[in-house]
Amino acid sequence: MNASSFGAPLDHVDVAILDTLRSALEVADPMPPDLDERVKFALTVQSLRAEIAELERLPAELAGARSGDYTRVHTVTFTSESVSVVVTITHLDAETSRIDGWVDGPATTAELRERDRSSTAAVDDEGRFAFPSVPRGLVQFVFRSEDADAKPVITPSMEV
Amino acid sequence: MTAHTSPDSLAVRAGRAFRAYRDGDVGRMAEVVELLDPLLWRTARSQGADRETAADVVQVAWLKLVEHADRVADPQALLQWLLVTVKRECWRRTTRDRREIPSELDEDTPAPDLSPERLAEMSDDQRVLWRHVSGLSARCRTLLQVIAFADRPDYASISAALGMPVGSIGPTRGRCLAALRKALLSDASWGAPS
Repeated sequence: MNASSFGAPLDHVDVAILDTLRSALEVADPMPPDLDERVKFALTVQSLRAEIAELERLPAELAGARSGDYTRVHTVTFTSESVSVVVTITHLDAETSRIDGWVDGPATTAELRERDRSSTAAVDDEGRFAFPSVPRGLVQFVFRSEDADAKPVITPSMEV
Repeated sequence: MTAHTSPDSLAVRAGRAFRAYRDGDVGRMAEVVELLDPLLWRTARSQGADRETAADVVQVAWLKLVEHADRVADPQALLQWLLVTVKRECWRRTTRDRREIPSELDEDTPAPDLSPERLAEMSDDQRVLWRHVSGLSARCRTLLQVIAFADRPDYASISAALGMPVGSIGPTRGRCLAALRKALLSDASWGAPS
């Protein structure tokens, strides 16, 4: 390789190389087909001045989190500056899940945003909340406290 | 393939939609997401994030963008802001999960963990190419994977955002592509386009 080689304008060989690389990655490591949808759903949350919680999968879940798993119960945690949340999802049947959660932090309500509706559950004195019957699909959580000045905490969207 | 022939680059089209979104046309954000998600996904994966983490990192970057929308001034800045945010977030999580701080993450980053089943789905040419890409430096590997999903006018700012010296790719071939091209052209198993 010399200076004139990498200073040269792109030609059809370069374009073919990049096109092949792109098609190889589309075959071997495609973007999840629902990623655009998950992002767009997460961005529809009303309160934009929010703290963003990040998803942490528990180490034991790593093996089971692959596609095609049939685990009935899984647990994920979300953490942000002010709260951490553990959420357990139980698949009751093909259409329905139960969600049990525990919040460590100032939250007093948990909102579950689904595609077409949203429901709210109170967080009890011990930090527990539950949504006993949730249609399986994409959801997002929003946690709020009684402190009017505190920002709500939003999570990325996820499948339950 | 239309990616290399569109009159306006990805970043410019995304920037136009993002401006409309900021001016109150909230529906235009969907277009921004669809245009730039493939690049963000590739950035996260090429930084060593597994598929689940990569999807989460991309979502968090978009949530942060909406929160800081007023700080992003122009189309190239929008793309760069997102790329840098994804890269930093991957770096932060990788170091957290490893419980150690690598001296220079870029050069420690493994090639994406493609499964043997996935590799088997590639054509011969794709496999030869992937083998040579995997042999490049981590910085070059990342850059080429991302620009393969971008438009030519955006290469320079992508390159800058991913930590390659400005001007090292730009409108010209660049060091990384030149290295890959040289390796491929000297490999008899690569069916070079004539």
